[in-house]
Amino acid sequence: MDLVVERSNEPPGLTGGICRQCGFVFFPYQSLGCERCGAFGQDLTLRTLAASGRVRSGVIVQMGTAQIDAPYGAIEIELDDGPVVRGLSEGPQIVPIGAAVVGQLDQDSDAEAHLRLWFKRAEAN
Amino acid sequence: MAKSLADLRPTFVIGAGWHPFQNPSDTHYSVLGLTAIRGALGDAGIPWSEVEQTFVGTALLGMASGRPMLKHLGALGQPVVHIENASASGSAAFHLACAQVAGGLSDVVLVLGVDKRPAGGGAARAPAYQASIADHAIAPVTHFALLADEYLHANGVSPEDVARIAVKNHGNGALNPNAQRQKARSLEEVLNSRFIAGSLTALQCCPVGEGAAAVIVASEDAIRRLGVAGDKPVRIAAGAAASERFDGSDREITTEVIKRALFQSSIEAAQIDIFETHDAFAIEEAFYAEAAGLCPAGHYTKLLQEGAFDIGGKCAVSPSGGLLAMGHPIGPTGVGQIGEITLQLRGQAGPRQHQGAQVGVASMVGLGAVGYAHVLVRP
Repeated sequence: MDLVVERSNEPPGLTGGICRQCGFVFFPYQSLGCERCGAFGQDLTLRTLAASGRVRSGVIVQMGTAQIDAPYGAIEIELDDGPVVRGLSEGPQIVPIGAAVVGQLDQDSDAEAHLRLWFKRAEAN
Repeated sequence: MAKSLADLRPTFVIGAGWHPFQNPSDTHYSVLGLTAIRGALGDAGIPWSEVEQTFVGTALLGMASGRPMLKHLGALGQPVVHIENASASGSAAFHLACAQVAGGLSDVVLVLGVDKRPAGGGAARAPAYQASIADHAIAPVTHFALLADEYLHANGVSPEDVARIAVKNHGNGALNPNAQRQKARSLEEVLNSRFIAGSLTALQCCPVGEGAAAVIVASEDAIRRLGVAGDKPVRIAAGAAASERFDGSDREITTEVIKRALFQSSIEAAQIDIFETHDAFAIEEAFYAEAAGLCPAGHYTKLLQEGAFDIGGKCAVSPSGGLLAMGHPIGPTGVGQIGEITLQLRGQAGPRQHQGAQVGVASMVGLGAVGYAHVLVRP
């Protein structure tokens, strides 16, 4: 299942879920069990969340990992739809706390050609 | 109704030993572990034959590391169990050992924390069922850099203020012959070390290393029977454990376990003289000290600058050097905290001694996340 979905004329969607028993909204989608109440299987349904929200924190990372070269920007976002996620920011640059951000999709540069999600300031659109 | 550790029979730490925490080397883990165990047995003044069970806290060694090492003390058939709880492996081993003795199932147990990195590799975590969008880019240091950014912004704290935590801990480590980093650092050196993520520089991050720490846990009956010297036993007053709730974090776990442990032992936060915690990244010390109630939220670095958390201050925080300077080989870390607090409460910490220490708290978190707190008191 793809974590990110392209949508025309809207921010990308994030494949999240909602628990029918307790209403907990979560990302990414899974049907193993609700972290709040334990309901599972068909009690957990898909919900597409908007890749937009407000920045809670943001840093420039100077030490890469096996999968990504530094420097890059990492931010924590409270999505408009509720869940808190970490993502990559346009840049690397610092995105101020409280700034509204929206997801963008690029074709990743690697050979597998999958979509890369990163966040930019909403005001820049 | 379930009981707490404080409800059960009194339990004591009677011995502590280390193999110094060090940079990765060719030293076999058995050498690390046996050095620490023999140190603890010698400190307690008891023979290996009196140990009834061993709890081994290790995250990196792989299956069945204990007996091939322990047999070199004499293969006497005592049970051994291995505990993995990420950074809290040693603390978890200690927690279970305390329950074993307090519950009356054993009179004398050994707790050993021992770890070294596998050749060519790092610490491997069980694969997540479902990855999120940037998991590949959020290493632990970045996770805490993001939390630090939020904290600095919310509390008007500067990166220099946080760096002073590392200055204190490197200074304490310089006084500790078992520490991996034994060099005092100036604020400039800490700030000018290599940037890793956000405001966190290399000297504000714990090193990668290896080592071992061991403690002996015993009942009053055993102390009397074995003639343990009067200056050795330190009372384990309370212990608490928890895991992360769906809407929580390491800070909430720490708040919960310390609150429960202090309640069990009828001790207030203001009475804590020694606090050892999971300062793998400098900002964490502020988080967990505030979670412990040592000061109001957002005030840690201000009081730190006034000397409140130095050795000799209001409460000595990370007198061992903490994970930043003592090191964080993983399995040994939590056991080493217990050993440090034991020395402090006995008045045997040498140049690191916090005078008049009566109450110590060891606080640990581990990936999962899980958390532990233990309260030790001078008898």
